[in-house]
Amino acid sequence: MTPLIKTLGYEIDTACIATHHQPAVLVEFALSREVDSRQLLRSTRIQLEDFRLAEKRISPDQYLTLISNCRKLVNADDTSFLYGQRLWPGCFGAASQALQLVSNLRQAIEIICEFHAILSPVFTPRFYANEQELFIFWQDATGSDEQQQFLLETHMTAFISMVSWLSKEKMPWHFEFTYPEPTYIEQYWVNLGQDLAFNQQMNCMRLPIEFLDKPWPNASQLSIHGALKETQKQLLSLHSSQSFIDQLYDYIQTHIRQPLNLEKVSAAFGISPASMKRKLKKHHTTFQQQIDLARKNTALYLFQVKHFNNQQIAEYLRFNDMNNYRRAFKRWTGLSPYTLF
Amino acid sequence: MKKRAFLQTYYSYGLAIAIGIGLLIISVWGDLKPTVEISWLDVFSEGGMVILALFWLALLLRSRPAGRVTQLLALGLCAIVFSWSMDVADEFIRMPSTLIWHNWLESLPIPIALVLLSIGIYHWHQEEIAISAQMVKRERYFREHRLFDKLIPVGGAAYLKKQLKLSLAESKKLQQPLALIAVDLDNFNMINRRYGAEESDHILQLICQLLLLNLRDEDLICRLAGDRFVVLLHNTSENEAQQMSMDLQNAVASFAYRTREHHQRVFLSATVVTTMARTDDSDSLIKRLNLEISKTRQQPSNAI
Repeated sequence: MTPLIKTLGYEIDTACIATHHQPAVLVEFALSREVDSRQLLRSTRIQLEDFRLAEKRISPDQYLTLISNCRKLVNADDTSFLYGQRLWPGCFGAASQALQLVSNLRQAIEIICEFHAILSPVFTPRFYANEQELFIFWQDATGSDEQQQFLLETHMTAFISMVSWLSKEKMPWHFEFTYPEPTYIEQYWVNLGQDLAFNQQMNCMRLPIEFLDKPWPNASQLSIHGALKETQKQLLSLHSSQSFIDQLYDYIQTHIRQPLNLEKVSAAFGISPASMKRKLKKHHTTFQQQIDLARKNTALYLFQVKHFNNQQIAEYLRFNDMNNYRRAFKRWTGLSPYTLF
Repeated sequence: MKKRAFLQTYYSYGLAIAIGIGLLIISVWGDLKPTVEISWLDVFSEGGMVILALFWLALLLRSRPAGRVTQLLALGLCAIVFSWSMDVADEFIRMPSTLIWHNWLESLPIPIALVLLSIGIYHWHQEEIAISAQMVKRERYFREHRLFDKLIPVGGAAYLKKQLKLSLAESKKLQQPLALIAVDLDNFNMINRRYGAEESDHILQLICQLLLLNLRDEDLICRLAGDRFVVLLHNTSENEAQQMSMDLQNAVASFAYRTREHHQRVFLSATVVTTMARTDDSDSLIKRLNLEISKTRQQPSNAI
């Protein structure tokens, strides 16, 4: 029997984002573009006063409404990219301080992944590497729905902009996106780079592995520990260090080799199947979608990192015969496994 | 430019007073029609006209800076609103048919309005010519305000693509060479981080002005995205284009910018690449230009 997961992660309506963190950066940007503050904060249930008091927390839902208002009012293709440039290291307390002291790319990635509830509460970065390349892929953490592409542009730009600032180096990043090429592709060229691929399986960034441990200037190996300790405390003061969707994804990922169904997973989370369904619906997803996502990502991981072939992947995922595997794979990715791998 | 609310202008007060006096005169001399005699279709159509004319007037006053042209157009529209609203009032009040002058209230303002509007539109036309002369390097005989950049008063990427399509067709027809220059500021990310977003926005605006000063009247400049500008050079050979791109690079390098707050000197430089339009279409041409920039950037002499 798997242990009961006691505290459930934050959800789309949990007040978990400090108003003076990510929302403040966006509001400041919008105001600099002469947007009317009343219209900007309409139906977000935030007041300008809240930024000054710096005590209030808002839910991802409110944050997403703010983003939607901002996009409508600023009405420019580069909003997500300019927002991203201003986001990190940022002024998010000890976590931001730690980011400024990192000594190489690995450390930066580790901090962002571990403390994503502070640094990037609505979009979760995940990291793995093989002998040649490192991969960072980004996953929606709270059902951002229509704002997903905006948030992805923001977070990728934030990461690239911060890394090139701290490392003082231009790195040959390669980008993959699940959606088709947008009409404002020039923004991607200027803000991210020329090496882009659309209609791919993951929203992912790749880089040759030799950049991972290359030392950066201005690193502070000793003082960073203090900042990291403070960040741990900061993380503990939060509602949770992970979103509910992230927890579910992690659970499925760890138990991917066992037969999983809604009843079993709900029991492990200590909730009824009905409330599991309700929670998933709130985040614009279903149980089957989450299972498919975890399986697809596992297949890609096994291929990219462990260099498994289709036979081995099918065996790992407990498919009895290759036809079933091929059909399932087609459902996850829209492609046959033999064309992809 | 500060936008003015229509209701706070003298035109609205004047109009309200004029319409008030007009109504007063009519109601003193005439008498109210019984409800059955009122033709509601006329009331709605004439009332609608008054509301539309008021809407034009409000838009005009809100968007245009004050001046002679605005004044003429606004007075003309005021006269139209006045005359039409008298028309509406007619539907409710019957005037004795022996009175001749009451028709003047309706008919007299119209010719005055048309004369005022005509003079206004003539001057507006002169004004447009003067403004177009100033805009020539930014729009080249084709205007689409929806494609203009939000931050800097030049066209954005969508506008560039439209213009490039026109230019490619033109250069093919006339057998003239067409050159493109891309100007990309170096280390703009650092400037952004160091001096703040407001300062770097300001730098971009000034750099755009600076590039404009170094262009000929036939050239067109657009902002592709971020700190990257593209210049379209009509009927320009590769050598000429190279020379111009060097000039642009030098212009950026010798620009002595000082920050607005602490007057710190900011040293700027730009990566500049040139390409000639050959057989490709507008999309692939822009893509090739951007690839050139990435390649030039990765050469060690340009490394950060």
